[in-house]
Amino acid sequence: MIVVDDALLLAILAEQQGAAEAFLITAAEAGEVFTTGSWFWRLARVVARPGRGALSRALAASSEDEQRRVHNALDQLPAEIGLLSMRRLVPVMAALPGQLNLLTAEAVAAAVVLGARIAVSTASPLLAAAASSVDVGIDVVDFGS
Amino acid sequence: MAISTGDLRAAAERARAAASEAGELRPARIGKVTTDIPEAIRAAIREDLASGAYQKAAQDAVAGDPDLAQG
Repeated sequence: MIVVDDALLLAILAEQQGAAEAFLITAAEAGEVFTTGSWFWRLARVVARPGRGALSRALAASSEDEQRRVHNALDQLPAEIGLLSMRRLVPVMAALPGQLNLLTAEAVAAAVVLGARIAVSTASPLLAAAASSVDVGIDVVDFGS
Repeated sequence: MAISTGDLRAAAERARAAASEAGELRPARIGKVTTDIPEAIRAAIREDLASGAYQKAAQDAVAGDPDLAQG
């Protein structure tokens, strides 16, 4: 089981076919991928906010119908991606050692409950330390590979 | 009050049991993830993920919200 961050969730939703994403696609097909509400929320914030990247430019150049299709695809988490509710996670988050922010506590608690590893696109010292303290493994996926 | 490993283990076991009973330890559906995203947008997403532009946009989108910082 793998708990993925917002960037990796985006790669799965956009059906990216690169070498870096191959194991994620395979894992998702096998029902082995979860994300968290915080990471899903981060992705929604990025999509809702015009930026300067290629995605923003491509969306701006798209028809209304294409824009609607993209927002529908990214706003509705597919049933093939798991998401544990705060009803389950908050007691575990409260028992984690240290002072953690919401994103970190939710991710580590989800991994603990699922017996999962965490996969992220960017190394995070805070997340790495929190995960290590409870023996949760972290994989950093390099999209440039 | 300090949190012990035993407290964490007990909380995790309770959460796992409740999630299992509710069928939440697996996604609701098993199979290939498919979405209706046009190819031009998929290419743009690929570019933003590879260049780090997505990750930068995510940092900017949650700036000032320490609970969503992946620091």
